[in-house]
Amino acid sequence: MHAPEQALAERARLALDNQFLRKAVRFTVDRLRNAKSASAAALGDFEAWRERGRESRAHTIANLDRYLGEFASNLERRGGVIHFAADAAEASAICVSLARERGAKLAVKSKSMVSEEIGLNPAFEAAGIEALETDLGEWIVQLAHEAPAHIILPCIHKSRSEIRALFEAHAGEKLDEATATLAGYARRKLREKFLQADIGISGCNFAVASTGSIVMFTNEGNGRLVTTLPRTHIVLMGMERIVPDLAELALMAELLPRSATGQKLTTYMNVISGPRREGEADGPDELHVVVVDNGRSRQLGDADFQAILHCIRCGACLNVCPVYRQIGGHAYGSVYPGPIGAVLNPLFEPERELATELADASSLCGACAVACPVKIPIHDMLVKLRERNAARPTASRGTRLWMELAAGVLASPGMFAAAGRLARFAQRATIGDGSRWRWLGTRLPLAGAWLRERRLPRAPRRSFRELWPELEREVRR
Amino acid sequence: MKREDFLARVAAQLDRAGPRIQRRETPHATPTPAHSREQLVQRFSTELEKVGGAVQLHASAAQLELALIEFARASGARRMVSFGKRCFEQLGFDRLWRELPLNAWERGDAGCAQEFRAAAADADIGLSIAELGLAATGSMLFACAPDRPRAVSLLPRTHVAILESSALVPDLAAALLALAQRGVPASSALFVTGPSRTSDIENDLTLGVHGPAAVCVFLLHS
Repeated sequence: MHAPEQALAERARLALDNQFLRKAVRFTVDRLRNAKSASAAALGDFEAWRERGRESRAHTIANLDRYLGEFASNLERRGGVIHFAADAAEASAICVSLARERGAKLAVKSKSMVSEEIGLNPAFEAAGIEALETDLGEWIVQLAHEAPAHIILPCIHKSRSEIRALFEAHAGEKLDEATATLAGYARRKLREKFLQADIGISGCNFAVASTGSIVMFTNEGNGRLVTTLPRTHIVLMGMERIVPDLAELALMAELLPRSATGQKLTTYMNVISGPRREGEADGPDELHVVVVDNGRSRQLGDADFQAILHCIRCGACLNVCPVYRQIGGHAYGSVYPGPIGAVLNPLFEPERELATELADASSLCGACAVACPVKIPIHDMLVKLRERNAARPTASRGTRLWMELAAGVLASPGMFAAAGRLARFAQRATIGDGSRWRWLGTRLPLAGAWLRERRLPRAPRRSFRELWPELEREVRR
Repeated sequence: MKREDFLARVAAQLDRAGPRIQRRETPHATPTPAHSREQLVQRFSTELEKVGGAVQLHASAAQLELALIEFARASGARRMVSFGKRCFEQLGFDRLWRELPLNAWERGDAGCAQEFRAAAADADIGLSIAELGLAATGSMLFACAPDRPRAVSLLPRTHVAILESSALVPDLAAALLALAQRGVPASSALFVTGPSRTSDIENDLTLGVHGPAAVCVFLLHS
């Protein structure tokens, strides 16, 4: 994954200036969120389902070594080959050498966030092997040399005329803007590639320990083509994708599609157990599964963050997030956008600058935690990340001074009340509505930008706490 | 990284004291209410139609065969591929193979497999037979086997599936339970719910961008 070129604030500003993007993101997240609400309600007592989901994920992750071992043995029993990769570089190297050994020229890919995470496409490019995205949205994003903007719908930021322009440049012919024309062009072009490809690369939504199966939930069908037509199928899997058995898979299958798109079940749910068997007409001759750690194991045993490995990558937290709603996915500058990304990325890459920025790009409203189908307390984790950032040796002295001051004031009732009086006085005198000195506020650093756009009602002279003794008497009467 | 090292690192991080946690009881809490065959047929048809599939009900195999021939002719199909003939034996079809341009997969050597794939890629209709139908979602299960190639439900523009009402189960949980009881899992157990779909271009729903654009189920219910 390349480091973003601009700082978070600059990326956010670019996103906020892009009116098409903002409209498209709002439309998409509203559509997905409403579909989710409807289908969750149809399931009946969704809260009970979420609790079951949380229990299942917590149990699995608490026993991850055991279930991973069981999965590996059963995958081998079905004729698959298992690989373990400690980090992104090792995972990429495994895939590249598998492709090289087979003399591969073309690899077709179905959507995989892990492949973005480990930077697989650049690695294949460097090895002289074409790695082609085949999910319609991912293909468009690849043609535009961009990154996905949403976990489930990668190219919501592209208008149909931009897509047409990309396809026309690719085709060298004129196309019209009808969805059917554009999708038809993609079908024709990608079909040719599917039939030529030597290697198919996919992600997986779950891996079943008791059967050694990998499970994919898809809608377009490119996932099926990728896992059926090429001779070699490589699966990239984050090590936490495990479910213990098919009964627990049934539970996850109730939660994942509903939370992602509001579907009861995706068009295709494929449970793949090993490569093609004797006498079968089609399917790959080889199945390789690459289990990727890449920073995940650091979260294990950490009481504050282990639950982040419960995530099933549905994207429901993106669709309810007021920050994501305004800026979309690219402004996060990382593979995983939205609230989940703000937690995941710093954990995967603690040394990067990004780590300290993303946790601040949140209002801590908690909508993400409420939307999560497996009840991950995402906003609590964001607070913990801020805490860690403030305690870093690299944190600015200003930040640390502020935090220490805040800690002192918040811990003492007398100081708190005094600080409140001071703040109300200052607000009434300067930036509150009706103050003669309001223009001063608009010159302030930080608050200035906000105040130029908004009005602030004048603060009352006395706080609620100061009013309470009188109010209490009134209530008693 | 070696498997032992990888798993040891995970175990060390988890730092579990004491004995390993026992496997959980099956978590599916809501028992599925009893359904009559009639209700399952109703529900399956409604749900499949909701996601853009089509359902035809037929009371006998002979009637179903006629309707299939009629359907293929009306759609102007030039080439068709299907599962191996053995899969359809219990239905007692005889006209189908004579009257339609139908290329059924027969087990053979690897050369045949290449030819069959090319035929499937070029076919207008793929004819399959579903192992299970899931009433709650309008889904069908296709488990890969020597007579049941994957390409039939994948490459042609239209996927026509035969489903017997005796193969209907209430939902995915019931179907996965049936799979779990089989022992060795199929190399590919595929659940199909309607036609291939995408909303990647400006949230506009499009069918058949990669897989079949139409899914038609001929449901045998006597």
